[in-house]
Amino acid sequence: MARSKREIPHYYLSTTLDLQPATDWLAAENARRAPAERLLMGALFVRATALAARAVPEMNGHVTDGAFRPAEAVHAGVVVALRGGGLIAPAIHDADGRDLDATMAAMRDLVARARTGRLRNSEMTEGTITVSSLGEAGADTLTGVIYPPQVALAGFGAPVRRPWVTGEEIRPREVVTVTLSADHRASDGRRGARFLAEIARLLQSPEEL
Amino acid sequence: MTPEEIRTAFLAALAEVAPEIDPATVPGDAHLQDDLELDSMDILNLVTALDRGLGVAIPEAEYREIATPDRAVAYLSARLS
Repeated sequence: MARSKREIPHYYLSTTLDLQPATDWLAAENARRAPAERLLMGALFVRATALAARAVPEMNGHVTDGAFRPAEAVHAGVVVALRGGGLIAPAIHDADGRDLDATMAAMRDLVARARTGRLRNSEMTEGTITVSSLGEAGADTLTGVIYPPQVALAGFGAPVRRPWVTGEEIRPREVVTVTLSADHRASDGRRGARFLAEIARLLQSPEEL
Repeated sequence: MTPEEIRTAFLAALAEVAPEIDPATVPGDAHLQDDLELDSMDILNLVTALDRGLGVAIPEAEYREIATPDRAVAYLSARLS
């Protein structure tokens, strides 16, 4: 982490988005699924981030020898907290090509193996972008540190109910703040904003993820 | 099943999901998320293990009913009777 902050010219952008459509869809979906088939909001976040990374390729790849090289595939690193301390971010290979169920299955598998120390080396080194999510408990925003040699990290705060303006009305809605940490050598704020807007757009239609 | 058998089954499922937790040391009022630091993935895996082991599929809206071992035993006893 010290190396990341020393060597990568980070910039940060945040947006708060309406998570109610995804929350409602997920509740309805899980209500008709057996526990083994259920989804977590984190899988929607990973899926939306992987698709947004494909749409905005300046967020997806590596800096080597000071130059940004975009990656062909999207290997989404998922930050896993180890009980007893420490974080690791093993990657889901070809995350942009997996549907939501396949993404969830990959996350279950990664977390289980991360906790028991059975990850493959390639999973630890081949990520092209990272997703970090605080889950239900925690703070509103998560501003992460990029995993070198990657160039971007999408940090999702805890989803919370907040007043939300739709037209001329204020209504309580589930919202989440997503914060992009990105490498200024690979992209600028305009492309970063495009990336966040794409994540927000994708999460409005969870059934299409 | 007796409440004690249900408690044993619940703690076994918990140990399966979180192998570093010693079931013998978990107090009945320990909060799985706040005290034992289980996250949403762990809770889902626990619910999956309880479905497989006890045949009780807990709806997502009722996850709070298994927030502690004591609450879980009461809830599962009612569901199994």
